[in-house]
Amino acid sequence: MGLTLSWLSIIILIPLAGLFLKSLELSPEQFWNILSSRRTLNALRVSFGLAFAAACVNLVMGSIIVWALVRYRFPGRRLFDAIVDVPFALPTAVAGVALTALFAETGWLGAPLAALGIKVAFTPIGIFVAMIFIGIPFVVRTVQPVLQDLDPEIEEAAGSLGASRWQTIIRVILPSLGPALLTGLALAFARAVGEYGSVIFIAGNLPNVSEIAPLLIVIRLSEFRYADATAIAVVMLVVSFVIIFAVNRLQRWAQSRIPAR
Amino acid sequence: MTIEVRNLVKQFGSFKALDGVDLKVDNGELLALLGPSGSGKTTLLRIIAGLDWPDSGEVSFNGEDALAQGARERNVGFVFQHYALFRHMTVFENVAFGLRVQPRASRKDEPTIRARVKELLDLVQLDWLADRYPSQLSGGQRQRIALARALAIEPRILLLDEPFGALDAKVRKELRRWLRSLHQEINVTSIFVTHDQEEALEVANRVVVMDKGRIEQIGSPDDVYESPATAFVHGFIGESIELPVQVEGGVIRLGDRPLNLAVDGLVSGASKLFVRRHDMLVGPPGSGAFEGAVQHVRNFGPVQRAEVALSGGETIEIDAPRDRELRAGDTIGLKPRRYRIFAG
Repeated sequence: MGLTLSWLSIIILIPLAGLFLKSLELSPEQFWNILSSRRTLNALRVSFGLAFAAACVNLVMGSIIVWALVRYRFPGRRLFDAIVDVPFALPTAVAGVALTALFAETGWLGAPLAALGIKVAFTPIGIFVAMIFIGIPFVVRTVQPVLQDLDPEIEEAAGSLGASRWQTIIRVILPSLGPALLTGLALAFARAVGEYGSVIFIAGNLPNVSEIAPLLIVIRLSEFRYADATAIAVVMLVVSFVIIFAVNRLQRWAQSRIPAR
Repeated sequence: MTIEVRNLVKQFGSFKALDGVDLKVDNGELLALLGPSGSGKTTLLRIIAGLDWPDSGEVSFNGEDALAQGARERNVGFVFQHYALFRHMTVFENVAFGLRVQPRASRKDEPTIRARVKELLDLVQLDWLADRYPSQLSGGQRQRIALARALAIEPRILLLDEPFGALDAKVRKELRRWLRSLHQEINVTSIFVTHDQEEALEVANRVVVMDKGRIEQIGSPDDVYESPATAFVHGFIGESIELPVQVEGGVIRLGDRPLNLAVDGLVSGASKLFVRRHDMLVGPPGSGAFEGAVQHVRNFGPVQRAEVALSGGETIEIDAPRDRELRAGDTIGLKPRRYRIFAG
């Protein structure tokens, strides 16, 4: 117990406290001015908005991938299963460079998209794509064990009781997976908010348009405006914490409806 | 509802789960499919339910083709070995599920659904558990809820796949009796799968014995016990002694020892002699067809089970009444009260 708490303090709490202390050097007025500046607000909007959108996409696509991996036996299944972890393992800068090359106007996917008038690299869409890429394993890996645990017999039971495929999914499968899906969503979201390496390569980093909050923090740091950097960091921290906390509560509520077996 | 199955074949890879099965089930019957694991009994049940499809053959309900319909349309109640309850729903909602997913046109209103669920929970005597979750119930209670859930849709047929297989011995016995009386009450055509012969003989009106994807015998519990049609049935039902014998020129031999047993109507050649363990009567040496030395004796309530090394070389187990105590080392004569011989 003591060990756990000390370790937790050293690793997580003390750095966070330092962050808060540093931001206290600012007067409330200065703090407010930094945050309400157009560039800061836009950076936060880009970061949180796109991260949330990416997490939602990951939730849907991740669920479909999990379904295929768990319920079907197909050649190369193990390979695909391993590939899911690639975004975990790949250095984020490598992912960023790869995605940029792929989606640049001359890239394999970028060129056809550009012909359709869609520009991905160096726009917010690029950030969105990178966030989807790095978030997908979180949804897959949290939902997978729960789905594996879910007996296919309950689907057969639902079917023989007269439920359509759709009713079975809505009434039986999704509620059983609910808590895991929420956790996956929260993790993918948290990861996307904090993502730096892969995003900055593909983003273009245009202030107010495709500049993410973590990048703005780095810029402020390189300008020696440490207080500004910590102010943005504190806001990110608080917002992330509130969102994660809310998801956690939601998850707990969902779980309370499925008592442990 | 009558069920008719004709020449059903189902193969999983190189494994033949069903190898030409014909079966007729009468209205209101309680039929047991009995066999060892891998005999195809569960596959047959799942095909009747619409959870699996045969490679060839026909299934009809009241003369109409059932294979043209999916599980959803067949209106068949299915009870799974491991209950398959929806664990995020209360007991009440589990039972109500089949009523709530009906198409809007035929769906009953909420008070009717509530009344129906209440009625079913009363039927399975678990109305006091309505607000619990499945994880809070014992195995026996879960299986009764699963049964109530299956009955909610007023199924034309009730199918039970090893319904008591996951329960402990005492609960199994209780539920067997309960299932039989429930069937008398609701009288819906029912088929249940089991590998437990005692269960099949005790609960069912008629027993279908299966092995290796084929039906070995169909008959009343008395029939399959008293007059097994094949060597497999004799060996599988009741505790039997199986001895390899030779029939030749009107004499049965065990090894080179002739046995003093009637051979009317037997085909010459290698055969199998079956005797129930309790049908071997113990007497003094020379009094019966067999002779042997008692190796080992254990007492089981009213009987003593003795391991006897026959002079032909085989070792058998017999169940003898306790009125004459056997001891290891005794030499005894054995006379089969009843026996059957199958060619092959």
